[in-house]
Amino acid sequence: MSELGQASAEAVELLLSGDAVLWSIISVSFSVSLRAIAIATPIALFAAFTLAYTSFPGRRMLVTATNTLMAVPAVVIGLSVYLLLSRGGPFGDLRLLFTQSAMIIGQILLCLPLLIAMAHAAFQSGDQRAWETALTLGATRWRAMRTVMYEIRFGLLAAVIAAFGRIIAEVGCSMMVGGNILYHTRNIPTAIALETSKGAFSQGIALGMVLLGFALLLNVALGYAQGSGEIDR
Amino acid sequence: MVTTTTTENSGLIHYLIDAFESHHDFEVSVIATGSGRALRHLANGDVDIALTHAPSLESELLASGQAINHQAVMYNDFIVVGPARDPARAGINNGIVGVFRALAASEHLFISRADESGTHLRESALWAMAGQKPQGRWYRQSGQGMGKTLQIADELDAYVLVDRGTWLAYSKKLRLRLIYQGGDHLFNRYSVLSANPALHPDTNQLGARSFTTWLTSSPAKQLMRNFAIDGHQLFTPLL
Repeated sequence: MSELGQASAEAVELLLSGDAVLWSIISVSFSVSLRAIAIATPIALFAAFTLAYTSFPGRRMLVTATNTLMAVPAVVIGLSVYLLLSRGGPFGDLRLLFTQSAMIIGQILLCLPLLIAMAHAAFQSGDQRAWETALTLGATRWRAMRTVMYEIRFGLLAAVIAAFGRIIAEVGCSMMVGGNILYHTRNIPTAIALETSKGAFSQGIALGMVLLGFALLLNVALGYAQGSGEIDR
Repeated sequence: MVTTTTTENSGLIHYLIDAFESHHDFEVSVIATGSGRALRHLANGDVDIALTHAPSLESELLASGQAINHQAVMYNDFIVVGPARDPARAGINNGIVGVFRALAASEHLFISRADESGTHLRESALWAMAGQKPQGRWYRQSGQGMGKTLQIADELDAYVLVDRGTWLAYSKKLRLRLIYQGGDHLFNRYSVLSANPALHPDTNQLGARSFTTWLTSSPAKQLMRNFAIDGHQLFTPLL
């Protein structure tokens, strides 16, 4: 038990001392996940809007498919991306495996179903009259879409926060397609996995604290966003 | 028992253990990590016996009494592998020091084990011998086992130091090619050491002694000679 206490004390020291390795791991985590969510969000918003406001054959199947894809485990996504990007695979010539780009691709695939599903739910729960009103007032379809999105902004924010929470903490995909290379593809979850397997707990605990702290922050933000979706009385 | 990832990845250790278990009333559970960590486990009494290839660390442990009954068992060599076209022009050098100087000068991608394994310790020693301090975007630290590190080097078209055993086990799956071999500095010796019962009385001394004795016996040596991939013997027993 004293070993755990000692490791925790060392962890706090590591965080406060600005250890270069520690902060490189944290920055890889945020750099990769922020880029992934930045690319995935516009795609997801557009897809969700299309699913909510248009009808076309197979629409219901697509909604079901998106909801089902949310259940795909991160390792399976990791394996699929690995097979696609490895030198022997169809996209091997792009030389993306074991780079941050591969991690970003994997994380986009991970968060897209969740983003689309939650955004779709937000669009459906929003007031459809906003769309019609905007159009009758002379707005272009793009402007009307933005109006609608503004109406349900807290629901959309909740979707983005939930998706970001999923990808910043996942290890299955990042480990497989990133390769856990220090300063390049070692992010917080993969570093924790590695350090624990080495029996070096202080770095793992330090990183765990960062992740925990950030998860808490996200959940507070999520609570605020969802809470603000109350019906105005 | 703790062994190194190099003996594990090559398949030798399970081959030997199967034979040992069929003739002795012991069961061997194996964990594989780098030599540095393996020897720490031995010193802590977490394992009964260690098979490692880090002679300097082994001597330290013996000197401090944290391990006993050291027995050199077998050897092979380290080699430098890398992209077939050898962009760093490393292979043409005479001597490993020249090779490592060329690698540093070209700043072509190099993947290091960076995990205090026997291979990593030798790699660090070779950089030091060549008077180089490798750092920068070209020098990548995988922190993982030999098999994984080779895989990374293969995908990224990088140079890497690898032991002959793991290389032979993996080479057919890889695009990397042998760049440099030979010389005293690449000699790779494997030894077994046992936990010190005076420090850790609950370790399996009988089992450790049995295994140590068996490893240096004729049947074990014959097995090592027979362990080959594509006709290439991976490890040579020490007589």
